[in-house]
Amino acid sequence: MKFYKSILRIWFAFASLLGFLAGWAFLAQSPKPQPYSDLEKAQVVADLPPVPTIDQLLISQNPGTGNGAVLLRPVNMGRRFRTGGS
Amino acid sequence: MEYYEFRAMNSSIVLAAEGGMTADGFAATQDYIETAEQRFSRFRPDSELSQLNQSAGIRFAASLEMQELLKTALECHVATDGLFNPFILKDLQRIGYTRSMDEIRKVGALDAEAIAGTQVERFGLIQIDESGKVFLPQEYKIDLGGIAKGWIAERAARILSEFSPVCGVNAGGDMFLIGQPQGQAGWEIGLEDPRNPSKDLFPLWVNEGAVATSSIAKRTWLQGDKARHHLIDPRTGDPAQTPWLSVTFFAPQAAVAETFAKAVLIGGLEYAQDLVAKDPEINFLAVSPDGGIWSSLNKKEIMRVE
Repeated sequence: MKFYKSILRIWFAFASLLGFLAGWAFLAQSPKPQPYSDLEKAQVVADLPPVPTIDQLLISQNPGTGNGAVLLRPVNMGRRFRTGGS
Repeated sequence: MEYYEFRAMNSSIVLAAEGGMTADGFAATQDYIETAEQRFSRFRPDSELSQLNQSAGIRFAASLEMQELLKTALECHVATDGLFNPFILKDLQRIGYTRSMDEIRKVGALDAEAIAGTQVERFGLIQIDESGKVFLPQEYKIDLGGIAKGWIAERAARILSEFSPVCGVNAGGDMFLIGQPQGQAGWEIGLEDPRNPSKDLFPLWVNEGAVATSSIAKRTWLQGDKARHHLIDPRTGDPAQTPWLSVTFFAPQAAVAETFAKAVLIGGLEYAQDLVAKDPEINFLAVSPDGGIWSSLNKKEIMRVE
């Protein structure tokens, strides 16, 4: 019984080593990632709006109605009050 | 000045307050507006207004707020020579305005056959007795949309003023302003361009009181192949044929500003001239489809301002 256990351990060690070496050889043959250098072909991406500040994202609970979160934020307009019908 | 924005009455509501306990004031004001909306919305089947409309032909025990708003509506109906008339609801429904504008914008109006309208009965047929019971004649229904919005904005502003002495409530363009912002000549209000609502035409500087704008450019839809808008001319029962896209009216009371903005937009130049001849202190601005501004702000006559 001890003899078979020793054979099994040697077999596991050998198979692990063989698997590791095979993986190493496979990855060594595969193409390497190249740094992207052709800027002219790069797509132009639209400017993103600035990230809002913590204050702008402050979410306040509405104690008056208890009906969930309401975004408390400055109205994003030069003039805060506008009239134009609805 | 601190601002707080939320959505109610199918509109963006903006509260502004300076000094005092603004956060508590905003909460109390929002609470009032949402409660009032539940009372006066025709799109909520359980609202008091819906129950009143379902009670046509029998006497309906109305709340004090409902009685007060109906009396104000009756006064404004008389003052505008009938051009403001809450009995237009059946006509609004006939031309496809059967659900809230938020829903129409999402899923469209019901496709009903376009039928020509007829003159709307005068609102004076409504009866409010001393015990607070309201009698609507059989088959009559009321829409309080615009006047309720202004009326609620004024009451909400008065609630907010208990927390902050300088404050304003803007309910989708109908607003009521109290006090004067610190370091400014008045309240700066952007006058929206009805041809391009994302832009302002110019700023208006106004003092305490009410500002309301009525427009035919926003609540629009197709009924079959017919373009419709929500401003019914009670003289015909159909969407008003008007030379202007929007009218902005200034008045000490929000209900007056709201109903006269409608009346001037429906009545056009001739009606506006009569109005100014009767009361030279009346202030309004109208915007025509070519961007021209018509104004009574010179307090003498209506001028087109380039």
